[in-house]
Amino acid sequence: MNKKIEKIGLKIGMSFAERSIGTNAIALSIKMKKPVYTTPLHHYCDLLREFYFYSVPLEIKKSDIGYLAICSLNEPIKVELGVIANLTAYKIINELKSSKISSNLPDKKDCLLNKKQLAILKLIAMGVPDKTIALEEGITINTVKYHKKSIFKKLEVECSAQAVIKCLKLNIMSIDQIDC
Amino acid sequence: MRLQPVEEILTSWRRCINSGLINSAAAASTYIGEDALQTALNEGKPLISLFDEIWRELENLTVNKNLVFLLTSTEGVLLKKSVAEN
Repeated sequence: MNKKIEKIGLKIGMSFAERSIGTNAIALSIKMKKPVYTTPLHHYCDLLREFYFYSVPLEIKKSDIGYLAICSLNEPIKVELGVIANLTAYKIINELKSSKISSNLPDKKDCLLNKKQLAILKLIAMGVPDKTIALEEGITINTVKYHKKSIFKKLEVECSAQAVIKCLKLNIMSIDQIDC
Repeated sequence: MRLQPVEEILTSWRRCINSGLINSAAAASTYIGEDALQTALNEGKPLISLFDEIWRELENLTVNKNLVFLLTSTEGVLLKKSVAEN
């Protein structure tokens, strides 16, 4: 396969766009934003006439970030390989998504809440009003408000809903800890 | 594997013919410039390193020597190719 690839000149920097190399799975996948399977006869250019292609778009929030393709010489691509390509694309997207989320979040160490703040946030997540939180925690309503401000500041958020979401994302609090 | 509907293939062929693309084009004619390639490789860095990581796991699963995995940019520029060498 390596020799064949070298022979036809398939190397980094080669364009699979339709305007460059004609009809192929990657070009069609770009056009239609969906997985595409093409056989040698489908390919417009002679260069690809011995290959089978299966291309999968890599998309995050409906915008494409690239394409993953399997190329097979003189042999149809089996269903199992298509599944591997789909799963690989899924894994790449998921890893990228989680790395993007974590890079957008402040360092977990910097926003760890103390015991009291965490207890208050759990009550907030359950929809308990400030007055009741004060009663349950044995503090004044002003202290509840003070803790809420500190929580928002530490988490760099503006409201209770955002604070709860961020804590869940950062695994400071799990969904099971919220009793509704 | 489900093949691409013929109509979409034909429409693509029509576009190629109308644009005057010759079907004997060599791979070299499709290579993008060095500067554009460096930009594409820089932009695709996180994607390429993830692809490399996953490929290390995949390589052992892929026993077919006639296979190559390709990673392209959004424009269809080849950023990485990995050949099964088991």
